Amino acid sequence: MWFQIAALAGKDIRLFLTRGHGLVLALLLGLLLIFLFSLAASGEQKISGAWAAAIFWMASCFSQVLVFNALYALEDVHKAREALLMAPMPAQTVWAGKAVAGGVILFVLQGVFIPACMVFLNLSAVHSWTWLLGSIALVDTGLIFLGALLGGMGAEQAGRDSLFTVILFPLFIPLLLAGIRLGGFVVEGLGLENPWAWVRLGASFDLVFGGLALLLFPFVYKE
Amino acid sequence: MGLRAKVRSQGIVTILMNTGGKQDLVFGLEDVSYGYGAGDVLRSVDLKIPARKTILVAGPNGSGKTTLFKLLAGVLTPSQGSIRRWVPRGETGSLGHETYLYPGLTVLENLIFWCRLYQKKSAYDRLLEVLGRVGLKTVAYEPAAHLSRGMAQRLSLARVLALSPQVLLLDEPTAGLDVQSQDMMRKEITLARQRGATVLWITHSPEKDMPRADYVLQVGQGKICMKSCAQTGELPCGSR
Repeated sequence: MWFQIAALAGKDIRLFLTRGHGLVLALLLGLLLIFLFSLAASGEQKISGAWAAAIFWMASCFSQVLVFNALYALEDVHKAREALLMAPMPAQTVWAGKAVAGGVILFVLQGVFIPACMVFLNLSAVHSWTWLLGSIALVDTGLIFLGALLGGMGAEQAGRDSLFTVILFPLFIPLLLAGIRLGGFVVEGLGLENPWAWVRLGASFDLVFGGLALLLFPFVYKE
Repeated sequence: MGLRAKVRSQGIVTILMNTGGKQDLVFGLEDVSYGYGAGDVLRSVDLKIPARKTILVAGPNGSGKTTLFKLLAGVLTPSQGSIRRWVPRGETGSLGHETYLYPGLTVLENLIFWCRLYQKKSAYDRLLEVLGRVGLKTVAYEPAAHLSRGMAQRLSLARVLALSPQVLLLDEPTAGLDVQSQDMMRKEITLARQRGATVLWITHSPEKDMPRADYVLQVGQGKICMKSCAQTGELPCGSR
């Protein structure tokens, strides 16, 4: 099964990156959001770490909607989705492959968003790179688990971008809260009494929604 | 003959038999129904598909032929009844109206992907040989998006040949092909039959294809009837 997940993810990453326009759209959307919010805060002397983290995670959320819609749209061109359903593997393998591909692409996008945030939001330094990378990995895991599930739900549906946004964003609230609080701690290095409580919240979210995704995906991704 | 394993998944029971490599049936449908919207396309169908036979599937448009194939392939789940299969899922290859190709990948990359997904050998030499059989070796490194409709259909056939499954589900495989490609397709079907594969073949020209078949499945009004080609009269079956 792992080999099949790798084959699926490799195919998706290759198609997404070589086709180009999906990556460009997601990147531009995220950078635009960061830039617009930096304009809104341009009068402020110093932006708080939590606000910077909120802008970063909002850019990441909107970009990942485009990413997963594009990943599932790859199967629509010649109805490859039918062939995936016929393949000798559980449907969850498709979910896992999409999640891995989405995670890699999202990580690449965030590699651009982080310096963009530092430049546009005038952030001087990062308190701890370990905490930064760890919190990104924690929150990204939840984003891709849910993103891969709901992307499959919206496959071949008209208006799936809207559907995705309406359903997905409210579900993300606990995870984004954890990301914002941890992000503030990463930037400022103070003001957060117990960061591990937010880590536990994020990890619990990942476990719960990862399990739900594994259970529900065969029912949402079928003819 | 002993029962080795029994796996149930969404109304489809897969039975892996310890038969020393041979079994008499590949699919068994028990009281299977399926419909789209208000009415059932297939109603309470009982059917046993024998192994190592070539079966033509004929019937008017909208009679449920493609639906039957999708049920056998595992794409659809019956709304009633169950489907028993005596072959693992990875041993069923489907060739239909859709080519299941990724336009952004090259011809060869498409084959490599499907072989890896089905955990079959994906060596370049072997896949280039398969492409040669369908006349696509010269475009192996071209993007699949550059292929014409007929070439895409041939690539879809190459995908099935590369997987080398025990069961072939062919939904009008010659549709949209030129005469040369149609002959190539029929030749490959004959070769598959000779190597002992089970072939189910939807055709709108049964008179032309009956010499290659052992049985005919007549689909219509929600029901399915299987007859040996000897019983249908007109043309002899199995003769070449």
